[in-house]
Formats: sequence, C-alpha cells, structure tokens
Amino acid sequence: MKSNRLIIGAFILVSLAQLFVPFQMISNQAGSLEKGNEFRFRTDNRYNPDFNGIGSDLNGKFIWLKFREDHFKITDKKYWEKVRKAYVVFTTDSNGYAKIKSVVILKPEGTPNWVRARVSVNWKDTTRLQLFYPFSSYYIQDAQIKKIESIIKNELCDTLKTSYLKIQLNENQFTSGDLIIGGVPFKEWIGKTE
Amino acid sequence: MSLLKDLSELVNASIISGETANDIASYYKRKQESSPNRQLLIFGILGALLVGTGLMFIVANQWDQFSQSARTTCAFLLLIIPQLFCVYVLVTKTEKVIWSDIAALLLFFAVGANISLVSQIYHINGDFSTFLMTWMILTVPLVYLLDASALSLAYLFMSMIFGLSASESGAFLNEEYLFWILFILPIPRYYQLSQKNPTNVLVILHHWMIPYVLTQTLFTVSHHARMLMHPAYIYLFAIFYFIGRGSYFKSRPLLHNGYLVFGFAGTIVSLLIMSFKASWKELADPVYHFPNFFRTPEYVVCLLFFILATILLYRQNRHKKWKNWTLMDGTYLFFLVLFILGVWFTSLSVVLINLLLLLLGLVMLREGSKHSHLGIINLGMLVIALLVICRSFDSDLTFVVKGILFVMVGIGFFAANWLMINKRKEHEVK
Repeated sequence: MKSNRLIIGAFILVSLAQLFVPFQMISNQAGSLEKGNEFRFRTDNRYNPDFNGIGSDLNGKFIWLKFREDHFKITDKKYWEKVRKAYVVFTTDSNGYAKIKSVVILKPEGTPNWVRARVSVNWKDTTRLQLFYPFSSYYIQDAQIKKIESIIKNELCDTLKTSYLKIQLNENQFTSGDLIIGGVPFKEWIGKTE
Repeated sequence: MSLLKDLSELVNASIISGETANDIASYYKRKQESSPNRQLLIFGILGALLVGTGLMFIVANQWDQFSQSARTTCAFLLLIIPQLFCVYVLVTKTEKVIWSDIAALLLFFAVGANISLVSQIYHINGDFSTFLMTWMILTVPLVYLLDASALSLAYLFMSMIFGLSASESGAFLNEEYLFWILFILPIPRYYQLSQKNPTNVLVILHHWMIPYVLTQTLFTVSHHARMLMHPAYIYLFAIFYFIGRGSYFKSRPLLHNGYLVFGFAGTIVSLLIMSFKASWKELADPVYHFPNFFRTPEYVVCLLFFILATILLYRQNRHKKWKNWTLMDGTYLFFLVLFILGVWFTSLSVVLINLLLLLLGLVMLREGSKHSHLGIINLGMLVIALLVICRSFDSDLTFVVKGILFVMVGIGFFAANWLMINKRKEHEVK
C-alpha cells in the first residue's frame, strides 16, 4: 500500500513536469518576443512554369517563401561541407530590410538578432553557402487554393513588386508576421481577388 | 484446449486416473490465469494507437477555426486525459497488465503530441532532436512507474530516432552522445522483466528492438576515424552473438532470439563489406597512424566492446574444450588480427577475410550435415552464395566464369537440400 502511494506520488510529479515543460515553452516564447526586434525579409519567389505557374511554392497550407538573403559568401568549402546547422546573425540594410551580418558555428553573444538555420554548400557555386530558414514556410488559413495560386503567380512572383515577410526575432525565437506584397498584406490580397 | 476436451474420454478408457485428469485440468487453469491474454494486449495497444490517431484527425479537421486559446486547451486536454487514465490505473491497481500498458503508451504519445502542438500553436522554433530529447526525458519514468513494456519499446525506438537526428544535425555539439544515457535508462527494467516474465510477447520484442536500436545508432559515435567503426560493429555483433548463445536463450526458439540473428547476420554482412578492397582505402589517413587513433571516440568504443565480447566469450567457453569451440566464437578475434594486418598488407587481409567467409560457410554446411539440419545447411550455402555475388562485382572474371560460379552455387543449393532430404527419408525407413 505504502509503495503504491509512493508510485502515485512520483507519477503526479512526473505529470506536473510533463505539464510544466509546454507551459514554460509558451511563457518563454511570449517573454522573449517582447524583447525581440522586427525584421523585414525581402522575398524572392520567381515565376515557375510548372504546376499552374506556381512551381513548388504552394505545399498544402504553406507557401514556401524564398528570400533574397538566403546565402552567404564562403571561402573554406571543405569546412562548411561538414556543417549541418549554423547561427545566422542579422542586421538591417539602408532600406530597413534584413541583411545577413555573419554566419557562425558557435552561439552568438551580445546580440539577440540570430536564428539557427540549416546550411549547405551550393553544389553549382561552392563559394556560396545556402541558408534554409525555419520561417520560410508561411502558413495560410484560407482554403481557397485557386485564389492563393493566383496571388502567388501574379503578385508574389511579380519582380516589380516589393514583397517581404515580417519576423519578430529574439535569439532563435520568432513569430511570423504579415506577408506584404507590393505594400498590401497577404490577407488583403485574398479579399481583393474576391 | 483440445487436451481438456479429451480428458473425460481418457479417464473412461482408463488411460489416466481421475486424479491425474483433475491435476491436468487445474494445471491448465492456473496457466491460463497467470499468463496475460496476448491477443487482448496486442489489440488493446493497436486500439489505443488508432483511437489516438482518430481523435487527432477529428480535431485537425476544425483546427484552423479554433482560437489560439481553444487550440491550447485542446493540446493540454490531450495530455491531461491520458494522465488521469494512468492515475486511475495506478489507484485501482488493476491486475490486468494490459491497462497499464495501454495507459502508458497513450500518455507517451500524448506528451509528444502536446509539445509539438504547443510549438505549432505558438510558432516556437526548435530543433527536432531537442524536441525528441525533451519527450524522452519526460516519459522515461513511466517505464518504471507504470510497469509498461509497450512504452519501453516505443521509448527505445524514439530514442534511436533522437540519436540519428542528433548526429545528423544536433542542437549543440556532441548532442548525439546523450542517446547512450537515454538508451541505458530503461535497460534495468528490461532485464528485470526478461527474468520475471520471459515468455511475454513484449519482452520477446525487446530482444529484437535492443539489437536493432544499437545496430542503427552505433555509427553516431563516429566523427573522424570512421574505419574503426568496422571492428566496433564486428565486436558489437560478437556481443549479440554471445548473448544469443547464452544460457538465457538456450531453450528458446530462434523467433525469441533477436540477439543471435543480429549477431550472426551482422557479422556476416560486416565481413562481406570488408571483403571489398575499397572498404579499406581510408586506412592510409593520418588519423589511423599510431598514436593518433587513441584519442578518437571510435577507438574507445572498439576497446570497450572488445573487452565485453571477450568477457562473454570467456564466460561461455571456459568449461568447453578447444575442439568444441565454433568458428563464429573466434571470428571477432580473427577480424582484429586481419584488421591490424590490413594497415600494412591490405590485399592480404582482403584475401584472408574472403577465406574466412568461405570457411564459415563450409563449417556451417558441415554442421548442418552432421545434425541433419536443413536450415543450417542453407545458411551455409547462403553465405557462400553472397560471397560469390560480392566477388562477381569487383573481380575481373569474365561473364562466363561468373555465370559458371553462380550455376555451381545454385546446383550446390539443390544438391545439398536433395541429399539431406534423401538422407532423412532413408533414416525414417530404417
């Protein structure tokens, strides 16, 4: 009887830990984003003749965004070939858009403006380190696929329009904000197309 | 139970006494009561998995329409309900093992689902390996608290995924080494269960899961001296082989003995890999020069596994005469000699490994023939056939010679089986 009580007590402690971890994740995220900085990442999706002109940009309920700042110049190809993930530190350019400051292996100190990204050496140009950001998939709640396809093809891939994604960033924690295409938020584009 | 049905007939025919009939009936009754219902256990676990998946699909259908707080509530309910179910199982102290297994398994998946749902709802960025590690740490105590074997299997499998994912792209340097801590945590419970309830289907599945997980993850320790992983794997398979040949598995069928299967198959496959000259080319790298390799984790693993394999070999064969030793017993020792020899004379080592494989095949043919065991004969033939296939890849033999070799091995298969069946028939006639 005594041992069963002990087991139940231990189980309750484990259960509390199981509840505490997700709670802590939420509170950390909220706290960290309050301190974070907003960055505007210029997108670079191009017209693709495949699949109705949207290529692989639309995947289920996500738009796969390509960014202008998605690569970094490297000199030591052999070194970077062994690296799978790295820390990308951002700053802003003269127009206020996000710009890569550095790509490092060790956790950056003294700045909250970094994200951990998957990296790989470009197979065509080995001086170019390709970066894959965790925020490159933009979630779309709207289920009207035809309309979204049309926005991707005609607006997002229009190189004359300036498109960017707002990201609130603080030490790898981020929240995706609006996707702005030609000065108009994505949600409004859906309303417009109607 | 057909025997129970026939008992009255046997008593009437005066073959057994009424007392013996009662003893037999009570023996089967006791046996049935003590062994948990295997079918119920399997379908119970499957049911738990299906119900969980079904609920997730139903919720996923309306997920987008929910507010953030509603989604968070759903995520936490998903965790709290299995927790309450586990408390119920613990409080009622149900005798049926199946309930604690189902409850623990549900909670195991609920913890993983809860963390990933919270990450999705709040767009929390993180590494897959860190997520798996958190999940495993939060669920490993359940193996002990809920006495759950099904959970332990799921835990071991997901720990393996963690090890592989951490070695591919870990959240921090050397994160993959944490796999070994996670792996060791449920092992005392596994040992205890294997002694207490050796015929339990979930315990038997552990005998397959553990060698599988170790085979899959051992290479994650390798960073620089990858060549040293070949002996490390051979020693690991030797350990499996010795465990499989140990007293615990002696009276058990092969289906219960994953260690023996992994040990034997792993040794043969590793030797086949090393029978290619191309597998040795890295050995010229400076990292393998004396004393550079002493500092590598691969060397530490090699040393550790070699010592463990030798202890097991000694324990099993100390009362045996030399002539009763099998060739498989010493394969890992031969390999060590050939590997060291390969540093200076690679070609010679490759030739000797080919000969070792051929010898292993021939010894098995001899053993099979001696014990009239078709399985062992075919296994020996298979080893020789695989060796022939491997050599046909890298040798400069003409197609005709390769063809003749294959035909000969094929004829060998037929002939060995035919001869053995004839021998058995003759034996039965006598």
